[in-house]
Amino acid sequence: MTTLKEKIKQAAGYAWAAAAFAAALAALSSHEGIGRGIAATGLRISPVFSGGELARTINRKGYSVFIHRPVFDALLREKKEGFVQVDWGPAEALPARLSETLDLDGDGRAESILELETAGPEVKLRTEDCRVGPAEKPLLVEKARTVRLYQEPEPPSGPADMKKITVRITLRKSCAAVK
Amino acid sequence: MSHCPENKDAPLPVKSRGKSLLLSLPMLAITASMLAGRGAFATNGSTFAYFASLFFLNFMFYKMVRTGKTDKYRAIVFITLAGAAAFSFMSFFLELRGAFGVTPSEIMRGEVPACHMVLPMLFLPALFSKTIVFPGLITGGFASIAVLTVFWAAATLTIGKGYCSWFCFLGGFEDGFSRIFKSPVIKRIRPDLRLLPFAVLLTAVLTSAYTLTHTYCEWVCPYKMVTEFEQVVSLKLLVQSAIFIFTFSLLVVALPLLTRLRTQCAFFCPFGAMQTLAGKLAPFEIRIDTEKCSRCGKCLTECPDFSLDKDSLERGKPHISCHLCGKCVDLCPDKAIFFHIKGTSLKTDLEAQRIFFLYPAFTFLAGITGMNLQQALLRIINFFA
Ligand code: SF4
Ligand code: SF4
Repeated sequence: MTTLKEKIKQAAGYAWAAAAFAAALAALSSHEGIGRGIAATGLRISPVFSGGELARTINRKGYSVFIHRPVFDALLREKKEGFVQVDWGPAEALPARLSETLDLDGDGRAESILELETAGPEVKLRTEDCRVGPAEKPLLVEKARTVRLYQEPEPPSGPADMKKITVRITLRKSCAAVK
Repeated sequence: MSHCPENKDAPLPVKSRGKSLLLSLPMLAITASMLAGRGAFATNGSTFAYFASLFFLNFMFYKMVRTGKTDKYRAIVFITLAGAAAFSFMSFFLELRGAFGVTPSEIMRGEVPACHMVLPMLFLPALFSKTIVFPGLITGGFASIAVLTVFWAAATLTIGKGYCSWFCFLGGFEDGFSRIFKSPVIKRIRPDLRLLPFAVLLTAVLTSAYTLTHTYCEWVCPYKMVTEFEQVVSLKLLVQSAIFIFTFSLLVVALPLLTRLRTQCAFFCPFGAMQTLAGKLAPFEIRIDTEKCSRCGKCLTECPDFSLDKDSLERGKPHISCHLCGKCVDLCPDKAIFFHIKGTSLKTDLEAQRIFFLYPAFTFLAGITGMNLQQALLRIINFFA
């Protein structure tokens, strides 16, 4: 004999299974809306990949220099050593040779000079500041391929529709962090 | 070795054609609408790919309903979709960028299609630093992180660990290789290896949180071999590539062949370990009627996930790692193993409970990963057209 309690448990079990399936179907059919909700929470792609938010733009003749904020990001506290990403674009408008005086830490004082051939892979960093350097090899970043339906709060790595040359330069919080 | 009679020839079918058709019709409606996405009817080729996929998938579902066999048809679909997914991804990327590998540009622009394997590594950084440690799109575009998270949450709450046999097309490779030989070459496996995926999960979560990158994907994931991997432009990337070729060859091909187990899933996958824990929230499970069970041991030797042992037969349930593939249910000569809705009686409506499970499980299998079959067919048609 099935008791009333068992019958209720039976019904509750089936109701749970049916409700979970219904909720899943609803979530699947409205995933784009839910996705927009997730984006609205302010989550962004880690600056370790994106290079960090744009801090300053310097406009030159026909092209611009995009300097990103220093990335020291870690899970809880900041790291002692990070990097600053600098982009030049549009790549098509760049002169054959770039020489840029840079204020990487944003303290209002330029501390480094970066020189590179736009056609070649080499980069030269000149600085007196022991917190700065070395610079990674320059990278030619193609235009964004994806049509972004809903733009993230921060465009990753500056203007997405621009082909650019990117260099990441190591920056430390203090000279004590130099290995 | 089992002394039980093979029940592969058990009297079939268990349902009439009419009843089976009636029970299969809602699935036809669900998959028809889910597969009718962007561009499904744009050309004759895409229309053909749509109807061919729909027919194949629904025929398999109908067979599951009519014969009472689950894993027999699930495996056909699962393995087919794994091959279709790899083929459609790789040809898509080849067409898109002229090479298989992800370029450094795509990483910087955050345009790498996401994969569910990365999800366990995302939660801690998202919580504490509000960042996603994967260079993909948060929303929009192809395989965004938000969409994957929604799919994962929906599947977890409905089919739980069943995700690994019904939704994760990557598991289809191991499933296929583990079925090639009739009996295992390696028979003795240490039971404590069942804990290894949890150790891998913990390591992946902690190292990803520490470095703010997706360490497991970057360094170990075997499935980069059949989806996408970074172009080798440095020594570090060369080492990473050597590792993923090794882990794929060992865990996805060689060991499944030799053990007849899905070794990557059972002993390594951090996502699978997360699903084992999160799957507790789902209403379905596998149960064993300890009175009906004649202890023939057939299920113990056939479980591809190493989830059954003698203890399970006494306890009346498999280990929590069970991914509800249904192989043991198909093979049990005593019909003592069955799909079960938590909380309900163990004695009644077993077939109804199986059908209740099949609906959400097959929706994820066919309705979502089925799109890979459509894409693969379309690519083949376009190639020959
Ligand atoms: S254990 Fe991992 S690879 Fe295997 S099916 Fe589950 S998620 Fe996929
Ligand atoms: S216990 Fe049964 S359902 Fe679970 S993984 Fe093993 S064979 Fe599949």
